[in-house]
Parts: sequence; C-alpha cells; structure tokens
Amino acid sequence: MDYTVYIPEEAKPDEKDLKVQISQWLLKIGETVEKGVELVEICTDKAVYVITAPVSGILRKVLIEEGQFFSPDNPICIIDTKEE
Amino acid sequence: MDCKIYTKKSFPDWIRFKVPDTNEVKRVHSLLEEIGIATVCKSALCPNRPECWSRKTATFLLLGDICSRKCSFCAVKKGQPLPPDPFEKDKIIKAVEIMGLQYIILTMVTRDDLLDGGANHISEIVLSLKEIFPERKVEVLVSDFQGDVSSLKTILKAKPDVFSHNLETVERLCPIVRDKKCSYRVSLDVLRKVKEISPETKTKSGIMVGLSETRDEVLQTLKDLDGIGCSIVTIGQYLQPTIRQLHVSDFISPDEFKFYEEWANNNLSLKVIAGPEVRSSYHADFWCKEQKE
Repeated sequence: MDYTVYIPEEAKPDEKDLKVQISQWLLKIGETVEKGVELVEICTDKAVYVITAPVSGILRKVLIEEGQFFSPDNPICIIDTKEE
Repeated sequence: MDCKIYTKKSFPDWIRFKVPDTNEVKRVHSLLEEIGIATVCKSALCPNRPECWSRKTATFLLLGDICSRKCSFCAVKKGQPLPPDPFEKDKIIKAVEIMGLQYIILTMVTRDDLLDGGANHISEIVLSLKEIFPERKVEVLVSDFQGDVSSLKTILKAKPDVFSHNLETVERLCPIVRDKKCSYRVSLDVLRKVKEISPETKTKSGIMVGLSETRDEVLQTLKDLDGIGCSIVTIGQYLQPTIRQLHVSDFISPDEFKFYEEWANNNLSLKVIAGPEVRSSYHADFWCKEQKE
C-alpha cells in the first residue's frame, strides 16, 4: 500500500507561506525504509531538520527533488508499506 | 533589510535538528491546538520543539501571541495585543494536568499596553498552579515590566521557583537586537531587584551568540549577571527564524560554547549552560536540579 509522506504537522513552520527546501535525501528510491530512520534533510531559514520515516517499507517515489523549494503542506515522497 | 536565501550550505554541520516522528510529539501538538494554548516553542519557531515535545515539556506563552515590542531577532507576532484571555489560567491547568508536567515554564509577550505589564495575570496563574500542584516546580520567563518594582513584587508574591528574564545579548548590541524600549541595564536591574525582594528565588537569564559579539563581551555579561546573584545563564546560537529577522553574523563552534561553560565554572558562582541548541527553557527541569550550590 502506498503511504504518502508529509512533513510532520508539529515540525511545520507556523507561517503557511514559508517555503522550505529539500537539502538531501538520505535514502535512495528502491531502498528499504525502517520506521524511525533518517529519511530526508530539509532546510528552512532557521536550520537544517532531519525528518524520520513514519512507516517501514520501500521508498517508491520522491516527489520533491534535492534543492527544490516547496510548500510545507505538499507531500514529499511515497513509501510502499508492502501491506494490502 | 535585504533578503538572504538560506540553503544547507549556509549552516555548519552542528545546526541540524532531528524531528522524531513519535506519538508523544503528535499528542502534545494536538493537545495544545485543542485547548487553544500558545507556546513560545511554536511562536518562535524553536528548532528544539519536536525534541522537547517528545519529552513532554513545553513553554506556555501567556497573555496572547502578539507582543507590544519589536525586537529584531524575534519571530513572535508584533502589534496591538488583544485583551488577556480570562480563561487562560484554566487552559494552562488543564494542559499541565493532561501532559503530566512536573516542571512548568510560563513565559509571556511583553505587554506595555497593560498598566501592570500583565504581572497580576501571570501571578494568578502561578498561584493556582502552586495550589493545585504543590509538588511541581514553576519557572516564569518574563518581560522587564519596564523595571517596575510593584509588578515584580506581584509576580514574586506567587512564589515561582525560578524567575527568569533574558538579557538576550551583550550590552553593545542591545539597541540593535532588542526593541528600543529595552535596556541592558534595566534588565540587569530587574534581576538584581528580584534577588533583593525575594532572596530565596533562583534567578536565571539567557543570551544568544552569533550576533557579532566578542568573547570578552560575553564574559563581561556573565560577570555582570554573576555580580547580581544570578544562578543560571543559558547561552545558545542565534538562528534567524525567517528572512524578516536579523541575520546570523556567525555560527559559534561547539568548542567555544564549551569554553564559556568551563570558564564560568572556574571563575564564577553561576552555572552556565551553553551549546548551539540551547534555548532559555531547554532542559530547564534538568538544569534547575543540577545547579551548583
């Protein structure tokens, strides 16, 4: 089953218009993902944050490429949880 | 103010914060949203927020989320504050109860629009917390109340365990970093008066570095605070919350923070907690217990 990953609500900036940047994917497409491992680094005006994987599975698709700025409400990747 | 676009290359390796995806963080986030309480963790875009929330700690922001001063480092909204929320006390009590907080930190926006600066409002909340949860510790991180002694007495009447007021920066940079109504000397005087009025209350302060201050200026600030009986001082890296606030002048190395801790330990009575990630309330419960006698 495809699980769409967003930036966790509690890590989002308050200001909705604030753009964040994907600075580095820490896993490659097709790699196995364990829940809780470091998945991606994002960068705001303030600092670099590391987002951990919310579920286990296979990293199926990256929706925002490295270096790309995006709205914190957008999905960033899809993890196949291998569940029906 | 010119705009600067930050990318990962703008930050040294040590300015990297992990966002744990835990149920506890989600629970704290939803709870605060549901009860309708502002936290400085969110208003100031604190990078430690996920970590602190996963440890079930939060710093409640009282008297609204609009500040009457315009400090150039701060991301809290500025403008005409709203009247104090008469239900704020009940909301805080509810949050403390549900979150099971043992160490409660209350901070505030500066309220120059109120005659007492908001002192009575804060004092009532501290009194209620002390009455309902007598075994729990309460720290207040408050404004300078324009140096008004009667406002300070009002706060101290409620017997907070720790009275905290931040100098924010060294004396030379105060006019640039803080609002023009703020003064390094008034802030020092507030902490001095608190010790005079209530010697048993621990006083605490904090400064940010990375704003172009020199090492000597930081050491002088520590000496100034030590000289007025301050017990705990936090030193952390200034991080620009959004492009609208002051730029970071430099990223201070972890070794330099260590130097400040050790220097204070060897030369002063106060305890310094320093590190790039340190903020006024970061691990406050732990440091309060650890404070040197």
